[in-house]
Amino acid sequence: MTEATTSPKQGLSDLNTSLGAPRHKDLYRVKEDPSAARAEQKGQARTLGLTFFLVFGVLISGLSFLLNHAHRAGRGAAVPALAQETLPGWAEPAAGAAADAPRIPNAAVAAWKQNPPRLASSREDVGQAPASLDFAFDPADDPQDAAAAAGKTPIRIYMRGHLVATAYYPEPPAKEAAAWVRLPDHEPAPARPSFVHAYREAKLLRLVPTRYVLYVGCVLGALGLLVPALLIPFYSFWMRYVAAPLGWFNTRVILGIVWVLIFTPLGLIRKLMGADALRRASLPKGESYWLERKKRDPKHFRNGF
Amino acid sequence: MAGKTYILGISAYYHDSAAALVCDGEIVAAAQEERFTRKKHDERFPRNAVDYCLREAGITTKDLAHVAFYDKPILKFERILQTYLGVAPFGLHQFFRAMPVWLREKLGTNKLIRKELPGYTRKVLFGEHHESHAASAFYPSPFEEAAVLTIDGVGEWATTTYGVGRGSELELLGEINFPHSLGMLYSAFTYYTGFKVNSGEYKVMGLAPYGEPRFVDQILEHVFELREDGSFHMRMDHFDFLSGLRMTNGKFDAVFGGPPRESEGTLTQREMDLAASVQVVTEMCMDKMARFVREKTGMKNLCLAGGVALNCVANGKLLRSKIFDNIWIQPAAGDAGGALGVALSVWHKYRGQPRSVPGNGKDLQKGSYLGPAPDTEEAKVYFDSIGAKYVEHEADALPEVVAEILANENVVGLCQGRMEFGPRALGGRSILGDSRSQEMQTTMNLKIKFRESFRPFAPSILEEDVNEWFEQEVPSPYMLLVADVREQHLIPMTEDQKKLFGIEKLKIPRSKIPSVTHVDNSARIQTVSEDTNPVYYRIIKSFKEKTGCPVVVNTSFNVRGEPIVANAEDAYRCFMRTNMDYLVVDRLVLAKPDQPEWQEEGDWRDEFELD
Repeated sequence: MTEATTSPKQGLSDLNTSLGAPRHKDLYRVKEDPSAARAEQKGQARTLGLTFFLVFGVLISGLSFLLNHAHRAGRGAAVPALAQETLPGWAEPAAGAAADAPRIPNAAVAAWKQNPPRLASSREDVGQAPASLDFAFDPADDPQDAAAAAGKTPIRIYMRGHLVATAYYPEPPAKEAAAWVRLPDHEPAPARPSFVHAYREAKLLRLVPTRYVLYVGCVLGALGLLVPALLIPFYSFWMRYVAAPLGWFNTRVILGIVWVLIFTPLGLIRKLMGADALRRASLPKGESYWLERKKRDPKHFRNGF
Repeated sequence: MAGKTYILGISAYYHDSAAALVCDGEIVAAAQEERFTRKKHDERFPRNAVDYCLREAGITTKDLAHVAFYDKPILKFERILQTYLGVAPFGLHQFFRAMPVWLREKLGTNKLIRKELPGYTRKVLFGEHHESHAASAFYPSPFEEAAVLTIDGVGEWATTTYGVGRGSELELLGEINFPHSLGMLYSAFTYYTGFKVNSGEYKVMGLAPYGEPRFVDQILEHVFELREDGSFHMRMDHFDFLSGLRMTNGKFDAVFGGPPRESEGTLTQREMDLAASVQVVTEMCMDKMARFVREKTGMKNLCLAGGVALNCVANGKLLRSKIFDNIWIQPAAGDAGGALGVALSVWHKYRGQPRSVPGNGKDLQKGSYLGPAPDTEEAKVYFDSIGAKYVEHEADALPEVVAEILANENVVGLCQGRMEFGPRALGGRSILGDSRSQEMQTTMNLKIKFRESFRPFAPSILEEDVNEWFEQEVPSPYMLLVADVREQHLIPMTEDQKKLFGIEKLKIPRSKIPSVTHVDNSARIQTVSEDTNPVYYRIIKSFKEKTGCPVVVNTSFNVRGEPIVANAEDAYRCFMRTNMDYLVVDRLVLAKPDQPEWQEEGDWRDEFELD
């Protein structure tokens, strides 16, 4: 505003003329702009889509794959064995030890040779024995005859991620079902899966295939990024029927805990100590209920207390 | 903006949010948000009201020197926490209700307000709730010095305060703290008689004259200790509002012999007696407080504010008791007025600026006409767009036209000049009727306002004639004083009529102005002066010339449960929905038979919640 302000009224009508809108529309009720509201909704839907991608597509599915040992998956169609159990006599290689240092004591090697890991199609169904065993880096073992191995399926056996042996089976195991090997004196253990196998087999809480979770996250994330308008109905549904009830429930759980653990004991203790912040007790007859009010420095306006 | 200091006051987030703009100590504009959003008691941030105030002054948020909020949220939060500590393990339900909104929003009121006001970069200031009330009562008053009394439900801790104002100094000396509150007592009885708390209090007051105050002793003995100095104490074991979701409990029911009335249930003599009793207790309490404050402060003038100060019956008795020579009541005495109060407080107390009173008995409230005004040209644009038929009159000829319509016993909706700040319609957004008509009260209640037939209407009278018609000598420009109709205008009751009870009394003509005479021969007076509302003054003056009676019926321009209309559009909608005969918008006059048929979407009566 400049010097030109003669009266407030004039300033007002100038403003309205310049806006080109009649006052009864302009002043009295600010109507919501539908396109702005939609743009805002789109933005929120996009955020929700990307959040879904992060939470389901990355965080939850990633965690689920980890828990399903998918990160230990090997390359190729073969199903290398992974024994999470510790074999007798087996030890983690010492830090800094040579990569090709033998990792299975001779006694264990002998035992394995007598009673080799058997291919299994499930925990119960123990299948055939391998045609030959190749204990990696075992100097006592003969070098693998390439001819003997030809046409057979190599199954690499790992202990905690370290390759300890390769078994050659005459019949290739069915790609997905036979992902088990039976180690001597042990229950069959899950073999180290291939990437595809690991990806297909991983389940969230042993219930939902992890890959579906991944799909949901990725689809919502992509929609949010590219066409958030399509997500608006989902956004409304989610906020109303999932987020709001969850929030309602959460608030009550947290506040309930605060009430029971803090307010109730503190209040009761104060009551026992004779505090009466609400001045509920009556005063004797003749005494006034007026309280004196303290004068405050005008600086108090700066504070919310 | 050289030299001009604009201060914006805001009240929000509880009920009745509002904004007020003060420029160098002068009130520029003030309005309640509900009028713009059409949601009664709207408590959201007053976005539209702020917008309006800034436009009225022709400024933007950048030009504001200060923005001030009407109470102290952190003190209030402390009181709420203390209350929970005091009542735990009870009160969990309330805790669940109140805590989330406090933690999420209200504790960050500073941030919340700054987010709503882009362009304003300074800190938001906070006034204390009752200081804001006190400031709204004293600073706009016509007095150089005065005692101040504020009474309401609750603010931070205080529910009642008194103090002294001198020039620009205003100091509160004493207080009564939550939960002991005259406002809460009244609200408890509002709840108990089946009305809605925080809005049905008027109905209790309106119902009181139909009843006998036979519960006064029970109230004073069991639930409300009242001391000689006006201080009081509530027996909290009879009330449930600290920990429960109701106002009163079983112990309260036992004292008054029964459960609360169901909302919209039948009104019986018992409710009327209860209303009369709580009204008497309120009057007693205010009388004792006033005597105490007079003695403590030695002042001759009194300023009143706070929700209880809207109890015009009690105010009228206080005036007639002559405890104080003069009384001035802030017309927006409820929380909306806190917005105005805190803005004035910041100017005089925080900025230390002097205050000057006109000195001729005139106040600084400008008749409370502080809102937006309709404009003939703009209204025409709207009416043309919907095909409404109107006749345009010259400004000088209009009052006579309206008076003629009124004299023919028509009901007229009047929407002219700036909108009133405060809950009363004062001739800016009013429905007018002929006060001499016997059926007018019932007609207006049932066919226009769609509300209970017992509810009284208020008279507007020319300022110079008030003493001639009512037992009152001083002006009452804000309809906040109730006085009796003078005896020479009353029609004495016959012996048979005297035997009638309660609502039956309604049918008897009581005076020459029956439609504004309540069953106890009282009336809630508005005196109209030429200074503050010349158009309204001339309408009544012209009505007097035609009929010899300087009194018209004045009720707010709305239907039951709806906020008062703000602009031409609201006014036309309300006009078409009801059985009003004429509508006046600025200089335009619209007659009902000329109008095109009104198309309504859905049943509009569901639109507004009953109160």
